Amino acid sequence: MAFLEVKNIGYSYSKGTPFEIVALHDCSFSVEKGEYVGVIGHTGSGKSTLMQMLNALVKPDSGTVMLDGKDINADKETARDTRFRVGLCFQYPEYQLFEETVRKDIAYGPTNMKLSAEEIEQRVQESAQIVGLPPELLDKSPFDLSGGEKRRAAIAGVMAMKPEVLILDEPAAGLDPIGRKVIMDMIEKYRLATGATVLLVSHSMETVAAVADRILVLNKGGIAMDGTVDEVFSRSDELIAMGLDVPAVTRIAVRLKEKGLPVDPCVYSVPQAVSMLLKLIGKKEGTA
Amino acid sequence: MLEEITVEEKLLRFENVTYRYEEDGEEALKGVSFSVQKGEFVVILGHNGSGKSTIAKLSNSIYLPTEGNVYVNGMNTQDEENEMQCRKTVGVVFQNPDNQIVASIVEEDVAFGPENLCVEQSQLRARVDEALKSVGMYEYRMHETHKLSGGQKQRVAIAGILAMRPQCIVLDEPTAMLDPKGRREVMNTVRRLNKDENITVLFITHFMEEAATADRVMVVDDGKIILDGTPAEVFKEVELLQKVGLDVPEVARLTAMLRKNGCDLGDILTEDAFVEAFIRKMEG
Amino acid sequence: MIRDITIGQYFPGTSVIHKLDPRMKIILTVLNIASLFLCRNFFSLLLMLAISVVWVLLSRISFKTILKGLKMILVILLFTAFLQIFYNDGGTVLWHPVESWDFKITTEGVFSAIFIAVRIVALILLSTLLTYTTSPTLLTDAIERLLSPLKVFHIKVHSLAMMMTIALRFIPTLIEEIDIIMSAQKARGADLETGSLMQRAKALVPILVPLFVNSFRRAYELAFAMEARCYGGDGKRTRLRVMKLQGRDFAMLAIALVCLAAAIVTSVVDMGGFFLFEKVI
Repeated sequence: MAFLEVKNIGYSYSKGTPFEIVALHDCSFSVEKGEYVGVIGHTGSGKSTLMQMLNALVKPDSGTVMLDGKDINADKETARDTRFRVGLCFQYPEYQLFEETVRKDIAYGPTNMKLSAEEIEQRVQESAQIVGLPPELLDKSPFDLSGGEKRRAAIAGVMAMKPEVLILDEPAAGLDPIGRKVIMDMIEKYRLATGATVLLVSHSMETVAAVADRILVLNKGGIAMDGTVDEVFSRSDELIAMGLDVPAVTRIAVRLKEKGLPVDPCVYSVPQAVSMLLKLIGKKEGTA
Repeated sequence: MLEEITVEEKLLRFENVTYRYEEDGEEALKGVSFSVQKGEFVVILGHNGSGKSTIAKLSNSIYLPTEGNVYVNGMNTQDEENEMQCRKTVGVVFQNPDNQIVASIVEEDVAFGPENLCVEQSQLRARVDEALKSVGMYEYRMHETHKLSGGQKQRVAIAGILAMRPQCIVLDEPTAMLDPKGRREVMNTVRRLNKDENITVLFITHFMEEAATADRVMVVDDGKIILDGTPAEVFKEVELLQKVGLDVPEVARLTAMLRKNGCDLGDILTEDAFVEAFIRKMEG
Repeated sequence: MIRDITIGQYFPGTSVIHKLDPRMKIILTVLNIASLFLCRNFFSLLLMLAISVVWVLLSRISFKTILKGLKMILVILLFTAFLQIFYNDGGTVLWHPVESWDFKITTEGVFSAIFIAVRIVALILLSTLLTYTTSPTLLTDAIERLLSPLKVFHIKVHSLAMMMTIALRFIPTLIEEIDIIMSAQKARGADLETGSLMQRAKALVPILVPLFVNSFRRAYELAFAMEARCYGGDGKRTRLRVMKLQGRDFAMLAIALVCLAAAIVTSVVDMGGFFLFEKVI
């Protein structure tokens, strides 16, 4: 049995009223320990709701979520315990900072876990180091940090619980290219340090393709695709039809294919596209 | 005489502008000079904290320069009697769609600006409807603002500025908080306003793809303008851009790498142009 | 769910009720509620309930929506009705389980419980209908105009009205925000449901602090946006929608006044005992 297993999940909002909206229907997938999974879907595809089910924040109407072979919604204790084992970092997490100092804010999760004072301090240091917050910032008020530093402090707050599964919802939203890279690097650092499973939720296929082993594509409350990066990108035209943001080179490849050129639409990085296009030109010049 | 005319053609002019948020704090802008012509589509690029957003608030006298001057249609923003005229001429759309919508209903929000300008009641309705049609939100005029998507909210915010009939719209990272669909909606709306309604646009962003179709691109770093030219000129500076924390759009990188490998397609910045040029290359 | 709160919500429409002059709508609501409280017997109460139902029908807002709003106060409704049964011991005894207890159910208790319940339902119908059918901006505009005589006492009526407009605009945004912050803190192990009162109050800090900080940030940004749109703060503005009293406004006013008169007459004048509910029994 897989480490994290989601079976036939269904969920609707405002259940039992005329305003009922089906958010998810019959979703199943599983994630192995240590996997890096990208979760893609546009706004309203149900991905945020699905992520909140993985740490028992939202209980599915039907179906089960199993962590390490145990139903996470079995009882209150298991559900609460799951919150610490599956760390969920919300979008714009800096808007949830509240403590007097950065140190105390990062320590909030570990404190709720009822760890010893030494253990908490050690975890604060470790996670501050992973996200690249210098020690002198730890005693500052989180509200005095810059925008980028706030985001890092907030993510450190989730990492300090040392979750075995780390879920991040658009962790780089609103950041510039450097800021985006910094965030991706620290996720990688956490992964290497702990061997944790990572689920990265994003709108951007490009971001996900660069880091993930596998991609889950959500569409209209169901799982539309589940496969390796190459498998998913080989269906690029479908991704575009779903209104997802695929890399520019992928769109170009799909359009060249539509124009009748023998192009493989499964490209998602500039170097890939360059070598493919050069091959095409070479072939043409070879025959000419 | 001749000089006066050229000055007037400049809708927005920054002259040696320095801005400090606190009296003895750091300079957010350091002696910046540039001007925007009527009808131009100018994109300002820069990473977070480069000073690019300060430019937006200086352009319609919400902030006043610590040193130097800002002119809107030749009016100095520092003169108090010009304040309202400046704001009427240059409208600003901000980043967070939730925090710039005043009213609960779409059309009431769009009416907010012209109501403040004391536009006669008989003309208000026409202005609101026209502005909403311009951004493609007319069908939503009676909807509640908080139920709209991010892209729709941002288009309502643009309509709210349009209803004041400005000559120039400054957009301060209007797409930063939106999903790809919302970003496309806003970009297409702004492009159309510039092309069809001849509204001057100053578009501030850190998304490089959004700069590709501009008339002119300025790159801001550390409170200074370090690059100013056509998109093709600016995106040739791959190393400099990366040094200041910006990326080059994928299409520009693709053409640059192909050129290095002996396949020159010319200056190409958009996907359409690339597909076209490549097919021409394959056929010819 | 916290998101199900519908207070202050507005359902756009084009019904007669939607089209009434909002100033008149406020006056009518006040008059109707006054009549409701003057009711002393079932005749006038049923009349007011009928009026409320007619209002709902005219507004073309579905009964489902209205009932959803009522659901929120169901507990209060039942509790109040229960107290009425308990405190009234006039009339015929219907049920007296233990002889030595004071507790007994009497006809008068039951009737006054029904009476109170119907009155609360009608009250809720009338007052929610005001916000359901009037856009917040119009509502605050109307309040501004109705209160404008207060300017004589140097009260900044316009600023108050603008504050109300913005408050109503941001209620849904803040409700959504509370929801997100609560979930995010729960994801970090916040326990909001168990513990002593003191502990629970303390557990609210991680929710209230970000909420306040974010609200200040929003206020700051909103102020810039309002300035950019030439807001002066002095109340010198034109309005998209003119308020003009029309025939239907006066017609509704006439009906409301008749109801008020009926309520007063039936409660003061002895109608031969027929309509007074004690006698009905």
